[in-house]
Amino acid sequence: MPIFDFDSAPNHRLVTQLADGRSKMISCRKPAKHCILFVHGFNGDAIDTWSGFDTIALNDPDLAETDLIFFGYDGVRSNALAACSFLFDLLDSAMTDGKALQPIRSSPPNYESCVLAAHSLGALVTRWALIRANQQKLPWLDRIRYILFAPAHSGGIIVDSVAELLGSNPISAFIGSAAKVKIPLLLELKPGSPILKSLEDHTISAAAAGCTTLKARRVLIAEHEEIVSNLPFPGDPFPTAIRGATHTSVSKLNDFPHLINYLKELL
Amino acid sequence: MDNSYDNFKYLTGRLLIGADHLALEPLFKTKSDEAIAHIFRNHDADPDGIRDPIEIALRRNMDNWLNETSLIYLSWLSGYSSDPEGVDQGTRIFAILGHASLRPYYENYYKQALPCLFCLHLEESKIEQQNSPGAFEAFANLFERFRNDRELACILEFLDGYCYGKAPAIVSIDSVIRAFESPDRVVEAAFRPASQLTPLDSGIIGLLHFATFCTSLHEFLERCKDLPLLQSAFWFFYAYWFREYKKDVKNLSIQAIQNAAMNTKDTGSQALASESQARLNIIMSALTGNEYATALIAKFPSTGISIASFDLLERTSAKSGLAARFAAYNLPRQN
Repeated sequence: MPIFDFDSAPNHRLVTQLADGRSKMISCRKPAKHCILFVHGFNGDAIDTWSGFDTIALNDPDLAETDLIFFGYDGVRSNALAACSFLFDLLDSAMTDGKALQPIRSSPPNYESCVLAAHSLGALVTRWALIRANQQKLPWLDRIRYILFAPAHSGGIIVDSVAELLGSNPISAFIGSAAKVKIPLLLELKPGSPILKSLEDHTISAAAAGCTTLKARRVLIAEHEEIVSNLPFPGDPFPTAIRGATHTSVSKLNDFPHLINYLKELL
Repeated sequence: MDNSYDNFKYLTGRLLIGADHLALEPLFKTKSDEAIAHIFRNHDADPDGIRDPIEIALRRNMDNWLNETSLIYLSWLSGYSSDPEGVDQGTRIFAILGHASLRPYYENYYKQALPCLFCLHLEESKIEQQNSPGAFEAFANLFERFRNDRELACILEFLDGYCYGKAPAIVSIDSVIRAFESPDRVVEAAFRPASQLTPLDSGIIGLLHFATFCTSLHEFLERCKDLPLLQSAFWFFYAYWFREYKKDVKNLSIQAIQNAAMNTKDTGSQALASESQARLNIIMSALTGNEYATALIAKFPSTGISIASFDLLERTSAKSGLAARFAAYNLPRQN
């Protein structure tokens, strides 16, 4: 780990909690033209899932007029549709009246574009939110650019690595190895589950009706993926693999600095 | 480009329009000194404890407010933001922070060095800055990550001696540590549906979150090793958790791993248990010890803490300064 020999973010303010109590925002000093909305996955953390996007990314001059929003939800005890409802409220407000971003942004930001970046289970949460926006014919949908990191929308999550899910600390490292119990988790993510089938049907229908936003602009997958199925979702582009990445590291800029380019190309 | 004034305006704006400040400011403008002192009394010294929901809410507001003001002080200390002394925002903060009826709350009952230093700073008794705005930003991210963790808050209550339920079904920190004798029980608690969570489950999850927090904080502080003053100041932000709770957080954390390893027979598991315990011992020894405390204590201003608050307390230690107040932090924790 490098020591802190760098300056603070030249173009952004300090991370601040949004009114929902779970989401965080790093706003740019100038009026924002764009935003990137990050959505974590199962047992993820709003910011830690995206480590590096909250620090080193802020020194990139190309993001000088971009707000970074980190959506937070209970990935373990919630469910995809409940989380989707919270995300939809945040996204809809960010793209219209801006009330969810107050008092950080005192007036509506009027983003020209919003990059929606989702990791793992976040792919389901985000896609359902986009389907809802499409059904409600919301005009901001055309300003969304969609990118996925190790998405769980084709089935997963395989929970063999309990230690990884318990958190990164010495107690969890041992408990995860010593426990014999199987976790009855994520039935909604079993391949072919009703929620996945319905998501697929809705996406195909929306695409047939001319909606292009639901099609991810890019799908990034981990070289050493052991948690989710890498099978492409109908309509999505062929995935781009990140060399050396695992399911949890594939979204971390600290580990893969070139990830920033995949977001910048969508702004 | 120097953003320090912009950063200062943002941070103080966030505080001054926040719900905690808006709840507290009218109190300090309208209530008598005695009424304020009563709200912010020492719960251990009151046989009835703190039971009034309004008082509980105001004390929670104050704890959040003190965290935010400590962040503002750290932001100045690290060169991230400009000096709060002598400007309107600083005056508004001092109207609460410097109030004689409040000061015993953070100077004595629930001892926190950073509000003390900030108060002295606003009274023009300053220490030298150590510039590293990037380090402050990273610290603020760490703070945000854990600030609203319900299970972490739960284990902190257990560590401060709180219990749930009544005998013989009482749930305490000892129950939580005992539960680690079954690793399966720990995993079940961690993934139990929200509607089925018991206080014991919350305590178990909380201990895991606490271990993750300690691991992250220790890693962060080690990255600050070339910035000893800031490293120390960042540690002091959380020092209460490591030095002031009724329970010994280091021994309890290690006991949790020892309990989990009790029934392991194979050499691989025993080796992993030893490795995990050694790692946790390094982390918790550093966080509960005195190594991070000394750099900031050495810089404490020679000016004593304002006499006013001690008059209110009628304490014999009235003449002792800030350094004397935190002198025990220069030594290993005593139980």
